[in-house]
Amino acid sequence: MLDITGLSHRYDDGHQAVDDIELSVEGGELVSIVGPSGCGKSTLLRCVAGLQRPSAGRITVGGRAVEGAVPPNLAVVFQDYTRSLFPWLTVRDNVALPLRRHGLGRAERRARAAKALAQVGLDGTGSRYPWQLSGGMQQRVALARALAYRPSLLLMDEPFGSVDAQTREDLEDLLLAVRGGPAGEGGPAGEGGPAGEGGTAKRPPGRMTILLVTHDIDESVYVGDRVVVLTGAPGRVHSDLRVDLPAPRDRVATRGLPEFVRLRAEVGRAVRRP
Amino acid sequence: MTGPARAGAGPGPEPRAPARALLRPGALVSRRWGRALLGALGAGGAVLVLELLARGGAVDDDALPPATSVLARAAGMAVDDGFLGHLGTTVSAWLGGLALAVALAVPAGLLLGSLPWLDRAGLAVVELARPVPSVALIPLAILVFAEPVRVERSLVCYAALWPILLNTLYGLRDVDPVAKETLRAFGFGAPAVLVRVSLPSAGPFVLTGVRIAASVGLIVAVSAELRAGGDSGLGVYLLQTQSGGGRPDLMVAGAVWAGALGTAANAVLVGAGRLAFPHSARAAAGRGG
Ligand SMILES: Nc1ncnc2c1ncn2[C@@H]1O[C@H](COP(=O)(O)OP(=O)(O)OP(=O)(O)O)[C@@H](O)[C@H]1O
Ligand SMILES: [Mg+2]
Repeated sequence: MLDITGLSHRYDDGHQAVDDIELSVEGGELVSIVGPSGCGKSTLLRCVAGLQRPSAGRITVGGRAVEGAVPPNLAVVFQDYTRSLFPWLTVRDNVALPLRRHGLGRAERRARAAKALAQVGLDGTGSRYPWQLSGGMQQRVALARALAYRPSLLLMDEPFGSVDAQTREDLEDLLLAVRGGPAGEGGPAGEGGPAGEGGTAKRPPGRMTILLVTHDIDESVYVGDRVVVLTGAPGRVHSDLRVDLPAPRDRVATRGLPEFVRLRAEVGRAVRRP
Repeated sequence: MTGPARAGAGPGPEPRAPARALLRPGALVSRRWGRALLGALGAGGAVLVLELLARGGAVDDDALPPATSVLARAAGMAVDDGFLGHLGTTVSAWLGGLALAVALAVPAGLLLGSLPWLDRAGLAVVELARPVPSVALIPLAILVFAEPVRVERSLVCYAALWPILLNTLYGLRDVDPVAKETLRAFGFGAPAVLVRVSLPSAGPFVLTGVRIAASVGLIVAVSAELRAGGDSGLGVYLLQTQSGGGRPDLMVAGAVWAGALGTAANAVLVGAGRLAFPHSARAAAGRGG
């Protein structure tokens, strides 16, 4: 579904952000990305999203080279969620606007927006403006916008960074619930075959493929099928750990499993070791 | 799931709201009234001072008529068909020129602002053309257009063009790149990003440009009438009050009307901005207001 080979990026000021990153993600996989601040996680996501043309390397999504063009049926939750929300639109319209790409009518867009807002615990905030909400609420609006879009590839840059611990656990479970489809059945963007301009009107079958950047080691293991640890600077892949925990994950039972404890310790060691 | 009541306990970055947000909404309301009261007091005081100056004989009674009689004259002119005809000519030339300027400057600004290499060239042209005062172009405009109404409208348009164009350009520069990338990431193309992000984001700037242009345009409209003549317009009316010994009370009353026009246009545009761009008004209204 997603293949990254030899990805390096050097910003215009000469700063090398990521260096020779290799990463391959199966359709439907949820890959957690952890690493110290400034190691190039956001840069990596921007390159995958086609927002940033890398200085070297190749990225393909569903068999198609990204090369500075945004892959179809993609959603991004930006780390800077306050700047990513449109202050001139209400919360509801913020969530509904991208759905125009799916060719949905106004009523359907609104219904989907309302549902996504309810899912993230923001019932009844639809007619307010983003700047009238707290930081944690705004972050959930950005999350709802991405979920309402039902992308086949979802890139999330610290999407739960500003919410309290309890809400965070709820949102982790929500993410696992809405990624859809059973495991293994992935690649909804269609491997090969041009996935035509724009999204399809209906939700593609199979699971969303998700890249989730997080600073929370516990979270990276709990939600991930894999945990990729980056080291900086420049960012390189330090280790790539498979998470063999049974589904469905349970916030109490899963965290008590010896395998969970072992993985969490291993990721922790990898993050700390330069 | 969780209710909003518990939300926001995390240390999220503050949204771009001002520190004044701590003020209670009630305090804001009374503050607005307080400001209006102060304004009324100031205006009343000025009228009083002018009145005393004229009546007390400090200035020549003929040169500066008492404020109350000027205001009475101005009020009377509201039902004077002759004067209203003059006023209508000015207003239509002024608004016509302004509308033309908006229709030219906003698309030009969008075009220049969305093409980086044009942006530089565009700004250079603007910086060269802008310092030329429109009143200096009155003789040229008379030569070119001859007909007074067209002279007036084209000069208003010229004067109004620059503030609108500049504010559009600066507004587009100020658009948050993250907001643009957000829409791009959802698969929207450049035109959609321009219309759905850049334009609404730059909107408050553009409107400020229009407000500046409106006040500049009114000055130019009246100046053009004073110089180019014609048979109707506020400037023409002022010239007429000058002739035959002169009627200072009517002259000043005419000026009061010009001031009222400018004030009204400003108020309308500010109100429209509040309605159209609530996010830019939030600095004044505070969070949750
Ligand atoms: N536009 C830019 N121009 C120059 N350097 C940049 C730019 N954006 C990021 N960098 C640099 O690239 C490096 C990686 O930045 P990036 O934002 O990808 O890190 P990150 O892993 O997302 O960090 P964090 O966890 O703090 O969000 C940093 O050293 C940063 O200073
Ligand atoms: Mg980052």
